[in-house]
Amino acid sequence: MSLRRRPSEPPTEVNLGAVITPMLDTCFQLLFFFIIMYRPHVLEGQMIMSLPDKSELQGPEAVVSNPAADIEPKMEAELTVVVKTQHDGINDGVISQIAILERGLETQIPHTRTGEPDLKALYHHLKKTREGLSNQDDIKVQGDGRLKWEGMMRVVDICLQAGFKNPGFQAPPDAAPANP
Amino acid sequence: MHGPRTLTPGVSAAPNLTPLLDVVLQLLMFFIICTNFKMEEASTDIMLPAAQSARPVDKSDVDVLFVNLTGEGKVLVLGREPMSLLEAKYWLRQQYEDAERNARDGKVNTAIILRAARDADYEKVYQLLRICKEQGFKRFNVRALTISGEPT
Repeated sequence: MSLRRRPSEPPTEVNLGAVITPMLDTCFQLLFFFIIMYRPHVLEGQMIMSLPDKSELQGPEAVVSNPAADIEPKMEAELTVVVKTQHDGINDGVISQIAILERGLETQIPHTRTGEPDLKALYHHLKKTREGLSNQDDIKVQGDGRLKWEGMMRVVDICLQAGFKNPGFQAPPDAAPANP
Repeated sequence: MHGPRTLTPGVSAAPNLTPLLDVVLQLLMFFIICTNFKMEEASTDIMLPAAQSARPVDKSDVDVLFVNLTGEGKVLVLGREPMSLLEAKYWLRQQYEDAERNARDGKVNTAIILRAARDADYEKVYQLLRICKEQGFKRFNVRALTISGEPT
């Protein structure tokens, strides 16, 4: 019989492995999909703060609309950091001046050579002053209405670094009427 | 003299795809794990200010309400068009009433997560905070980008 295989001849190679090319194609498609959907994680942190006190709500809406919002009486902050900005058309919204109010006394924070308020001096001043306060947790920060939030946060950040645990916001001196 | 070349039977010239597949699968696993399909309440359009004092976000606190404020003073929340502060006031009131209804003891413990753009005016931020307070919210967190370094 001519069709009969000779037992001494090795069989031709038969690939019994899985065909991975389609699998690879699918993997690439899935990979492409997930790469598109991927958003790198932003290092976002949080800072716990106080909402404006009831006493600071201004205008006709000063009465809190919900009685449940009343908070327990607590010690008033003894320090207030006042942050000013300038509107010269170039540096609108950046910090131009920082002062600290304590029992009616105002202390100006010196400026650096570049003309900006010295934030290190603010940090050291707050840290030193805090040691003599009876309420070492609370502090108020007041900014001009047109001060950029970034500048405000820099000052709040320094307050937290100086050891104050509960910074609160005070109404801007040039605040609009209560109704937005 | 060499004779005519003959192909050796059984020799495959195809590239070995197995290591490539391994690498692709590993990359795939990475992206599958890192992808979050949940609708983010935190708007990616907001450029947050940076702060060294910002602490890692406590993800166990689920009773939160995200409020994004753009540099133009518009309030962004999930599923709504950008709102003015006045519109945000009514929206926040509605949210508070909903939270009050759903609270077991009637006490609302929802925390406002404020994500204000770094170029937003403080006046707008303060107005938004005041509105939150007026509606009855008590807890309040500010989001910022964490930066490391020496104290200022």
